[in-house]
Amino acid sequence: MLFNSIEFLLFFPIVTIIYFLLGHKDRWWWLLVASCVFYMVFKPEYLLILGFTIIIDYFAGIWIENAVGKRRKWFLIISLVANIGVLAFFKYTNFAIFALAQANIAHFKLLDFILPIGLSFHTFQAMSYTIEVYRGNQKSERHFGLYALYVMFYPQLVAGPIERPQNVLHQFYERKYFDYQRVTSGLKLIAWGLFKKVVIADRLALFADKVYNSPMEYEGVPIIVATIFFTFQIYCDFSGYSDIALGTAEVMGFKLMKNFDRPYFSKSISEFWRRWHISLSTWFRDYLYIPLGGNRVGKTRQYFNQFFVFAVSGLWHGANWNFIIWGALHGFYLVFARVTQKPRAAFNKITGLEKKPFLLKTLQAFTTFCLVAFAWIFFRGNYLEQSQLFHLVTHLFSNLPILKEFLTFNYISQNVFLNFTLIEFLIAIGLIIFMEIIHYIQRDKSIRQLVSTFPIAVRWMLYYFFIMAFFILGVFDKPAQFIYFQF
Amino acid sequence: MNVKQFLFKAFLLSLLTWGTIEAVYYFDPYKKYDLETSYNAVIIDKYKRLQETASPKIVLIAGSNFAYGINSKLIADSLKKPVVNMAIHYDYGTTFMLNQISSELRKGDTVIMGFEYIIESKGNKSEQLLMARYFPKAKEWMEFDDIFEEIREKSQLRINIFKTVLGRLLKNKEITYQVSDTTSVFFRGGTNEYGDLISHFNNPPMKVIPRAILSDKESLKDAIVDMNFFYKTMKARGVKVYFVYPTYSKANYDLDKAIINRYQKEYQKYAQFPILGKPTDFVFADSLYHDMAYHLTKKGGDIRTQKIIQLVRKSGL
Repeated sequence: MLFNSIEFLLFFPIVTIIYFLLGHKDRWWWLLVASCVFYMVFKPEYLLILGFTIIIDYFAGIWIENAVGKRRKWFLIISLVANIGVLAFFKYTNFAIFALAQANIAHFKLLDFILPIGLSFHTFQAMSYTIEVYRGNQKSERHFGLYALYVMFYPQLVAGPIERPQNVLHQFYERKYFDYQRVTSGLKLIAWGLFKKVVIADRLALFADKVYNSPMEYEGVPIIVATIFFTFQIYCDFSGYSDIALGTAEVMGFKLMKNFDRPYFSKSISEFWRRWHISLSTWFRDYLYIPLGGNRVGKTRQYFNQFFVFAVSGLWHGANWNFIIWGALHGFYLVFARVTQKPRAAFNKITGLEKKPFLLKTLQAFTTFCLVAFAWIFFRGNYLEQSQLFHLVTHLFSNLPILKEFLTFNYISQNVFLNFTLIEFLIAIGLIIFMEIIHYIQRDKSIRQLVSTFPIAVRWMLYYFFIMAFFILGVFDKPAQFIYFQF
Repeated sequence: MNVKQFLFKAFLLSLLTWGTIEAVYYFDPYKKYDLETSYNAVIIDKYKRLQETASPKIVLIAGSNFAYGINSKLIADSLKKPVVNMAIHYDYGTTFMLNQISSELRKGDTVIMGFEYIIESKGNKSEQLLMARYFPKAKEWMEFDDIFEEIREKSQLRINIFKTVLGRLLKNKEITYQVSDTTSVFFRGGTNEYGDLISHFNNPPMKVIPRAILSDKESLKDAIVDMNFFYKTMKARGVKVYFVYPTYSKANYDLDKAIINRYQKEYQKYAQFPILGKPTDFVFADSLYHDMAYHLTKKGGDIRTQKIIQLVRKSGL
């Protein structure tokens, strides 16, 4: 079920109202049933896949806890093999078949099935449970229903945040009450998430899709414009989803981990990854980077580990070379940043930038933004043919106009507005600025708390205009899927 | 604050916001003007003719390729039967369009279907609902998959109308449409007494007919299933039903030949109704097209109509 669908508009209040009407003891099964319904809207039979890994991991958790010595490790391996096996089979089999055929090694028939929605998310969440039990950070969950709910909790089931058992499982045992402040705060977060998705992301998508759907027709400025719009589109799309997930959970009294923290204000790539898809980057840090040696190994090995983790993170996103390149590119950025740390510091000193912190930070943020935006080309080019993607990357700076040519309405209309009207372009830009202003305000204080301090008349006017703006500026032609659903 | 108070507030806010949208939908200041000028409202005139024309009659049904490229008078004079051209726009889909005419067909009537290569069974619900806004009977022709689709589509229509009204209030300028002008095409009043679109006759045709979009992945099977059902129902009622391929400009045909051949094979495989001619019978030089691969000029329409008459005669009608 999509968060931006009519179905969810009916599903959410019904589930929430009944949730609060039920006694504490009955709530877990109600949420579990609701989560099953939420998932089954996509493809009912795929519930069996989830069921399979849930059963394996539930028992693996108990066995790991009860076992001693090497047996603990074996039970963990059974759990990991089951999870990674399901993920590999559904997500990477066709990729492997295709790669073997391309390399002319072996030719197999491609398998014909649709990827289970959100598979990478709930598999990683399930894996974090058995790993944490193995590490002794989490007691095994004996209540099968609650464990199933941990994996299937509908707000974060299909696109995260990828939770840790320590953060979520205990919350299912806690008695939740209807708290007006919390419920309205959660609803405001849902509204903001929906706004980011339906109004900003889907509107920016109109611009980005225009170029990315027929890449060979464009060169230079239009590719740059579309890439910048996609950079904000994917942020609004994914962080919008996360906001709705967090808000939905908050309404019912659950606190999920923050997944985004104004990533485009980052001054370095490493900072970007501390602010973007936080639940995934910390997952890779804790369960892959650190076990590989983390920062405890030699520098060359550290660089390799960093690069490797990011390439794997790319592969996590999708069984496609584009995602691997995207991940590897980020890995390269990070390694490059570490290798050039000293020369860059020396450069800042010589040029005097060091003494102008605002200018330095602005330059760093701008550079980081450009690097991230460039990498998104590979991510967005997921469905493109190799030649089309190659065209986009190699023609990014082709055919750039001289200033005189650039400043003509005809040129701007075709290459910057991408043949949309001036008003449509200004609305898109205005929405990005609006969002970043909100982010800027949120640096120090919560907008939601701020709004709740306003007099009731002002508050209601704000709510009214916000909702009307949602209807007026939203793109409702077809309920667009969230980009991260495909993973 | 208890749950009841919260629910009351939430209800009140929903009422205020959605109420504004509903109010604009029902008290739309432009509704009367749109009823007189909108292309979707042309159904009022076409349906009136369909109801008033005595049987045996010939009814033409398709998307804009029939609206543009048919000379109904020529058919009526040649076949000595009154003709009603019900074609408006392909996007209504086969289910809707065939439902539209079925209740008004009697024994002895003839239906000629000429759906485009991009026809779908379900069609565009927004277009259908927009028609129903001007012509409430159209609601009877609509079929929704489920209640969610119905709510979604109806809400979407209201939001679109709200946006449009707001935009028009800000612009405060309405476009006027006339058959005699050289720009407008799609408006109520742009058709002749038979239902043929004539508003483009005065307009200069495009020098180069743009590329049409035919997808490699689409199938016409669902639409053919609709046509089969319609054919069987009508056959039982004593109504003859034929299919002719849509017209398609030569340059576009050359590019889309493989896809069109595949569609033709689908028709040959699944269709239970008689098909008159083949796709190439209706492929003409680009100079006979007005603004796209399906839209013929007056001259092109006459040539194509002659071809249809010839095929219908050959079939023994």
